[in-house]
Amino acid sequence: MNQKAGLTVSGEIGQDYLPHRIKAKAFFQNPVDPESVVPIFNRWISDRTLEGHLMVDIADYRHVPNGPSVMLVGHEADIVIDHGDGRPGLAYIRKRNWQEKNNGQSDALSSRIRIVLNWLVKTAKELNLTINSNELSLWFQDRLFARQLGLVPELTEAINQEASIVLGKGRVEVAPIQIDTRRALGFNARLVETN
Amino acid sequence: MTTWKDVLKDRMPLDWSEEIDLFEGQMELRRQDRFDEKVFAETRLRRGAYGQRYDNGHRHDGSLTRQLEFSEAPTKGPDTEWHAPGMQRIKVPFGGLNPEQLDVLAELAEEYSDEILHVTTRQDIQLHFVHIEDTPDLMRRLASVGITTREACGNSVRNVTACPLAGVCHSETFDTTPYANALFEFLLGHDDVQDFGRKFKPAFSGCEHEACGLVKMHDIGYLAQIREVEGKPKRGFRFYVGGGLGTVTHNAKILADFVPEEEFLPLTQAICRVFARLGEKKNRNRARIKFLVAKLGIEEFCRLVEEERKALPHDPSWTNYLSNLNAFDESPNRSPSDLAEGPHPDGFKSWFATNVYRQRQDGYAVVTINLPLGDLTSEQAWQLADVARNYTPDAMRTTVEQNIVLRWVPEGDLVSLYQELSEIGLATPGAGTIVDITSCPGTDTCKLGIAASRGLAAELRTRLATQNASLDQAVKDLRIKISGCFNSCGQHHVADIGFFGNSRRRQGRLVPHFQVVLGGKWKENAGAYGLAVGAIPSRAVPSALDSITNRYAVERNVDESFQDWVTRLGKVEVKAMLEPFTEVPTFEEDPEYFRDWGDPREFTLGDLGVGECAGEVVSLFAITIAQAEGTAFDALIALDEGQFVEADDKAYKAMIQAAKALVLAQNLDVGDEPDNVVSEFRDRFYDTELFFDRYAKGKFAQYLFRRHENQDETNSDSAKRLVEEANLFIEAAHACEARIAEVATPRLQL
Repeated sequence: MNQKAGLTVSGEIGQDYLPHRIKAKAFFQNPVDPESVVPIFNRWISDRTLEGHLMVDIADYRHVPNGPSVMLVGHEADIVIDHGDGRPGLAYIRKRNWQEKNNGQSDALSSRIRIVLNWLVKTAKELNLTINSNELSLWFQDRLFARQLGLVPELTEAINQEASIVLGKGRVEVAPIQIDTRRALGFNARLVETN
Repeated sequence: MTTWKDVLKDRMPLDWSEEIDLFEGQMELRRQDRFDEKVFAETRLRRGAYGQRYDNGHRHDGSLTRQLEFSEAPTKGPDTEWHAPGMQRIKVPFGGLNPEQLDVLAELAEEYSDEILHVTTRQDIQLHFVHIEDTPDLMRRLASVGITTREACGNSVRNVTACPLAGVCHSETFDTTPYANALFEFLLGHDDVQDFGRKFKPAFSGCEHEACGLVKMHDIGYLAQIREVEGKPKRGFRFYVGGGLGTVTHNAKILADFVPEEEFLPLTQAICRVFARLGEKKNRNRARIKFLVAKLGIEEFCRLVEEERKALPHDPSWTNYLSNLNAFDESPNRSPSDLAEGPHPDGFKSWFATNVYRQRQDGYAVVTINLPLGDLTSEQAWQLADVARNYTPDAMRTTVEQNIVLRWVPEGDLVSLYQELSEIGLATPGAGTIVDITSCPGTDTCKLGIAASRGLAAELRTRLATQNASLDQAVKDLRIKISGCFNSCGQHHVADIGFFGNSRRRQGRLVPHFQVVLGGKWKENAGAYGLAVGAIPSRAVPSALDSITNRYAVERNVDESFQDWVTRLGKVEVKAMLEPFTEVPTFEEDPEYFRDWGDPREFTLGDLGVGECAGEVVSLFAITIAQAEGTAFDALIALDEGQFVEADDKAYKAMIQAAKALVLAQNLDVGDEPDNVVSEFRDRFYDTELFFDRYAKGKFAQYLFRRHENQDETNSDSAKRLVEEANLFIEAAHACEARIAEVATPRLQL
């Protein structure tokens, strides 16, 4: 049994403990003009470019420093030119309709992380953005999940396993981002050694 | 599975918690299509869950309207898709926020919204792109830190606003904060404010001659006064009533020049009852109280209110708060100090000049955080909460100019505070000047928005910030306010220079325009409304603004106000000044004229939806019976979970609510006390046989009477039976109401 944030929970990762909202972010290698993606986002809404996604609207927050500069808001997920933490990058935030193909519950968490990372890579490619292939971040924005599960080894292992696939062959290190306890549970995955 | 309800059960006020459970139950009923969509729409609006642009499932892409194919589900209101993102409005009475509340708001913005907190022109916080199914937990998390969303929208009493300087201002008569809070607490969920035809906005001012709480543009406004009564100073308020912006502006009328503090709540209650009884219900365009006051005349309105006041049964909560008036006094957590002599960091001087107000308490200052378009990120909100903890006695307030102020900052700490705010992007100077532009959401998220008010505001803000150093001081002191349509949510009527969105057809295409409104008065509590002087294309607004401000800077007489200058110039000359900007080039020459700011799509009105500002006009019976249905549904859930005592209790409560729903039509003062409800129900509906079914006669009423009189030991059988009886009783109440409506039994006149 693990004791997290005053709650007694089972260490086993089951359906009860799956996060409902995960954000993944990859960082730009070159500066990106957020305005340039607005027409593309509009097209994605009209053409339903992203399979399995209903995109609804575009939110423009370019006036807010270090914020979600331009955001394509969808039902299942949001896609963001994200200047958060002062590090411009592309973020994919999955919110619902996970449609994971589970091989049992133990795989469910990995499956969700995989979904988010795959879509992050896919959208970066669609937008023709050059992103840093050595590093990415993941945030579990569902605080109930974070309270219940916290930093259990299973979570770190799942991130490591899935981030390794995205970042390429080599050794990946996963470290918690401990900026502030009020923030979502966050992790940095970094390729530290290539094969 | 652990839920927020479990986690927070001991941290929410019980009544708030039950209200949220009820809403969640109603939501489930609506999902099952067992709850009328109009009633649900008004129910969710009264919980602050508002519609948002494109929620009708259509979006125009510049050439044609495309369908947004949300998955199948019942609607969450007429023409409103269940799964479409919506806006959650969060009431912040008098703008008062503490760091813990800001922390939670930031968490919610990140987890359920888009990582942005938006401060509105009525001191609320709004979160956008929220899914309806996330709202109950969002509300629970707010309730756990003392915030409710109840009656944030819909035909109800909206947020109680007040001057953010209340308590620290040099010119105020007295601190209105405890009175604003008392009004909030008194009217929240009060029976007498549930049957309005439209919304009702209150505001408080401590000063007559400043902008303060803008009482003259509100449905009801309270201006602090002190009078000598029997040789002693006595606190009270001048009552304003029937003011409002909207499409047609109304100047508030003085209802009473001085109402002593112990009379301010009962007199307000009397006003609410007159509005509920006589206000327009069918035509929402004429349903605000300003139309009623105009129709009756202020003298007759006053007479009716006085009559109503005399008939009011005494309520101890009218004066209970008076023994605790100092509950809102703030004690600084740092000693007062003076600002040290320079040198100061770069930018400090201009920030100090516009964003710092010296309090009447020596050595302390109010600092305004100038938020661009009222927005800040979750990250900034957490950081700001820490700053507030460090420098102030947890004292923050949102403002109607879409900013946040920190109060009780020692002047000696202003430099370090400025440096900390700079590091988190919150030390932008220019608060309360021409760069600090107010804007409603407009076409960004509002279903009624015609033009991109935020897009224009962002553009003007950027341009003015670069010109700021070279601007004449008189120009810097002007205020700009922008609305996306004629509904005035951006308060354009009370700005020196206001704009509201509209459109014109040119060369067979639509061109976004803004109507220019000049000469509004912010001071004197929104002392005068500006006048529309002509529409210009959206793209030409920055140039037109330059022209207006340059000419004002050059031609104004010494100390001549902008309002006086506009009056002196005359409408003909003002129109002539704007004439060159009304030209629209051909699409081939400049396609940008056919697009709105920040939106690459060709401009269209195809995205306009039906607004929810007015709420749905739903009878008091419908609202109350809906609560009964929600409670009965909760009883069913409890039964399924084997919680028989809870099921029994909820089923009984549902019957009481259903009985109350009927009684309310005849007696608004019935209250919630079961004995009273049952007695009133028996007298008015059972003894008169109004409740009697043609075949079952009074059988269903007996279910209520039996349970009310005898609570036998509860077991699974008895609980199940009572849950079934509660549902039958609710059905009988519906049938009774329908029968009464058929024969058009008039409501008892109060």
